[in-house]
Amino acid sequence: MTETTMDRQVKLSMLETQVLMVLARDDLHGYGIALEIQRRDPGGPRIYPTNLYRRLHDLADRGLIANAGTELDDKGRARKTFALTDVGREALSTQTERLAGFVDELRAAEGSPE
Amino acid sequence: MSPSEQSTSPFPRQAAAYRRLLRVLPGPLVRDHGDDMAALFSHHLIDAHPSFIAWLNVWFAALGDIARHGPRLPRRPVGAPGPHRSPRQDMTMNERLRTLAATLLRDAAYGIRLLRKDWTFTLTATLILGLAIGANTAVFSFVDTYMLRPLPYPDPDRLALVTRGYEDGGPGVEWVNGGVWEAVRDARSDAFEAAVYSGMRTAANLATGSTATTVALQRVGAGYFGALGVPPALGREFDTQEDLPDGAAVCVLSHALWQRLFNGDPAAIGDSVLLRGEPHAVVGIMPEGFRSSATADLWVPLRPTTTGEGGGSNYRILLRLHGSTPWAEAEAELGAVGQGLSERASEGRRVILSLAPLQARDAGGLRTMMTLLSAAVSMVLLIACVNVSGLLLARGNIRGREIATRMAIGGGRAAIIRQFVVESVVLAMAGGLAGILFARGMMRAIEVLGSNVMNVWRPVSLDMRVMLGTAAISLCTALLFGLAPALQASRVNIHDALRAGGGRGVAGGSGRWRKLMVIAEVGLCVVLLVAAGLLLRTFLYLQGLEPGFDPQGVVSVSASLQDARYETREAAEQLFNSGLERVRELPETISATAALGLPYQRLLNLGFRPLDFELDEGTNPITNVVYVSPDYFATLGVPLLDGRGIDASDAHDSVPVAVVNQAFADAFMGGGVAVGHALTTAGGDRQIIGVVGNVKQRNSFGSSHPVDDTQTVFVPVSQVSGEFLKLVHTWFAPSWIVRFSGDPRVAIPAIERALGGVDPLLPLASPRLVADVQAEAVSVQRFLATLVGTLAAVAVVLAALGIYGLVASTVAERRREIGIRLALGARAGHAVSIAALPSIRLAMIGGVLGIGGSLAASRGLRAMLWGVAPNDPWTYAGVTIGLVTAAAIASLIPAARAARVDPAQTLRVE
Repeated sequence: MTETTMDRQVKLSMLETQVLMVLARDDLHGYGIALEIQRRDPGGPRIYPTNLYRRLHDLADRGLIANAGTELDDKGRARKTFALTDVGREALSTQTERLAGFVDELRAAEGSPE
Repeated sequence: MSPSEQSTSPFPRQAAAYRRLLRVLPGPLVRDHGDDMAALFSHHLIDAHPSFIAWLNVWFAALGDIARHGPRLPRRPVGAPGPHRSPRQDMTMNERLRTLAATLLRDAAYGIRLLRKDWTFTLTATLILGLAIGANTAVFSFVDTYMLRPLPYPDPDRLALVTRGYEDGGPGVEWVNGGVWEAVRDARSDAFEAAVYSGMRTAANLATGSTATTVALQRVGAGYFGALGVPPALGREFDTQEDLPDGAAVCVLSHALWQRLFNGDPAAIGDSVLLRGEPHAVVGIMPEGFRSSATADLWVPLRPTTTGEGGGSNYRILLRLHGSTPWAEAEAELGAVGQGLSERASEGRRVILSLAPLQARDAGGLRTMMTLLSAAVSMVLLIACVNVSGLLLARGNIRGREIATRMAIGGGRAAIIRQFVVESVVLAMAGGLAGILFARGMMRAIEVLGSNVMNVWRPVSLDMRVMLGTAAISLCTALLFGLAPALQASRVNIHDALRAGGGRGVAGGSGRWRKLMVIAEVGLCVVLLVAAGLLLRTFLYLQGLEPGFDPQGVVSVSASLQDARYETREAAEQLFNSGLERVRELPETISATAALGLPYQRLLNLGFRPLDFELDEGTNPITNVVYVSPDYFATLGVPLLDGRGIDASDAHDSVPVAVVNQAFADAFMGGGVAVGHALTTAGGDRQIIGVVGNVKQRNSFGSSHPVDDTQTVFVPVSQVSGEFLKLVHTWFAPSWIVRFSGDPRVAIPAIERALGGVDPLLPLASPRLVADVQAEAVSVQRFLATLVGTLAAVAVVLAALGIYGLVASTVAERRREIGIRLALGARAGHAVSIAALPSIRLAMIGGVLGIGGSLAASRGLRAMLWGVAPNDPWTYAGVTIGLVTAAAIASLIPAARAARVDPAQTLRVE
């Protein structure tokens, strides 16, 4: 992985990070991803469809996620699902480290005396 | 968490609405994920329920979401094929343009090849477009020259005319009296430079050596040329001393007259010419091509006064705004001048002085005419577009197989549309070239037809500007006629088209276009024909008005008496009489007279004062005044209704008399007995001795009717003063009027010889039949009726051909059906009606729509109509019935042809 692709892949928005997090556990379709993100972060902003799919497009183009196949729902409708790629998994862990460092800093700032 | 959480939405209609909204997003995404997206939206709706605000919020956010992110979504399934950038996206702008140009050129080359193969189609379409574009180009060149191009003076947008209106009156007029001029002059404003002039151009006699010629003369005040911004090329313009009532006799020559008289010798400055019988020193020569407000050969000082000519509104005031003076400031200063005038004047109404841009006033008379003509030629262009569109549509149907093949091998719909549009542009360019050829002829025709009507003084030519205009017209035309067939043809059904082996294959929608086209052609034609019909009826009405005299065999010869030798009554009377003596000696002469004006001409307006009768409240005591020699009424054949006419007994020293016409008695005496009453006009108290019938005159006050029975007072030439003659001769040239037995044209050379000997230094205008003067009075109406009528005729022919073509192609497609019906025993008449009736019905719809359009459009014509109402039912009915009949014939011919066909043969074809 060259540095530039690395940069491109690692620059992740909040929503993109959340998508990767959800997909790290299981392959899922878009609707499921949105519901799962909201379940984990009930106070978070509503996720609207076009935005979500724009991010999915973007993540796929960057090679972080890929099409996983089709899943039939209880009405027998085929829904396309997505899976995290190895590159995606790597990007997620980089992002986790970054966020962890960020959180540490936040805590330090909070705890420091005036 | 599983997808089964999402069950049937509790808001099915909103979910469906959202799903429909998603269609604006790329197809592959919606196909793969649309249901998921709608489910997510429903989820938010459930979440928001039951708060209305939250619900509203979800909808707004969802719309914003689509609007914001939608345009950035790639047009491919999520993830799958990876982000391949097409080579086109990597091209620079320059490369892209070059590729596009190459594609278009290829399309054009292909189009030209096809057009050359189908040359009858190409020729027809080019001719139709050429005629329409040519007519538009010709009219546009006039509009451009007179209305769009700046006047040929420096900074023409700083030039204005003073207009005078009244507080309670309508728009101001640019004619002012000497009082207004003095007030403007004495204001000595810093905002503008002002100059006074007479807008009238008169004929004057110019003697050089032993010959006399008539020249066009304009009178302008000191500083006029300076205000226009064009100083004389040689010498100087008039100074203020020369512009006083008894100033030195000086003149400024036009370049052309200078060349003619002095061969361009600069020594002409300081030399003199014998103008109006008086030597005038030449003080200046204007540059070549210069033209003032009128086309004149030379200029003399106006010498403005507040009495005589200056007592009436006979002047115009030209202003040049200084430097960067805002228009409003000059307007305000003039307003203040008007205010001062109102305070001094005794009349109750407040005078309002204002400014009008010179350009707008200059084109004033032409503007309505040009607008009408532009509208008429645009309609012809629209009809031509519909026609060519119909031809292309029919051709598109035939080309169904070619298009299907192109699409089958991967040509996109866009490529097909592009090909069609490029072909249309090629066709329109051919039409534009033909149009430029036609335009030349049409411009000459307009100039010749309109020479009496329009003040055609600026050379109208086909230059680069007009060509660009034509190119623009052609391009718009191409889009107008080319787009519908292009869209239609690209909707081809590949399977059907390839199987059908040619002919059909274009989906059924083309029927709809065809219907619209028939409706449009008939509708547009009705509008144009109604306009032409109304104008024609106006012309016929004016032409058919009872003239009030007998024009048969009457000839007139006029001469300008703006001449120092004829400033006294005796001299003028002597001149008239010696001319009359000579003319009366001619064997063909029945009777002869002389007068200041002719029937159907504009006459002198003058105020009068009743001496022993009362005018109704609010009556404006103004009338036409004509001085006449004895035998005036007999010579023209004007009936004497009461009392006696003017005869030789009405001499200088006898009781001053006047004869009034019936219109005068009606207007000012309630139609009662006029003879025996007295009035003051034309410089004296006069006894009314007779009443004569009304004669049609060109109107100059009161109504705007082109020719009318206007109030007129006739006075003997022997009983007017030299001062009066001098004044009226600055505007009007008197005429000898002779009634001949037999063909007056034969007598014209004789009368010319007879009068020519009266004064060798007095140039005479060529003799004219009074009937020609009559024709000239309605020349505007004749011009408009001829031009709009011709355009309407062209439109009808185009529309009939277009309808014929559209019906013929419909019938051709229904041949098989007609054949089957005939084979099954239908009578031929029935088959014809099946084929023709639909288009006749469409023509009727078009007719009704056209009537609606005409009712709206004729309101704009109102000012040009006389003796016919803008909604005249006869014109409307006649035009509509005529046009629907023409459409019916155009439909029946192809239908009848189809019905004559042998059914067996039709059926065997496929």
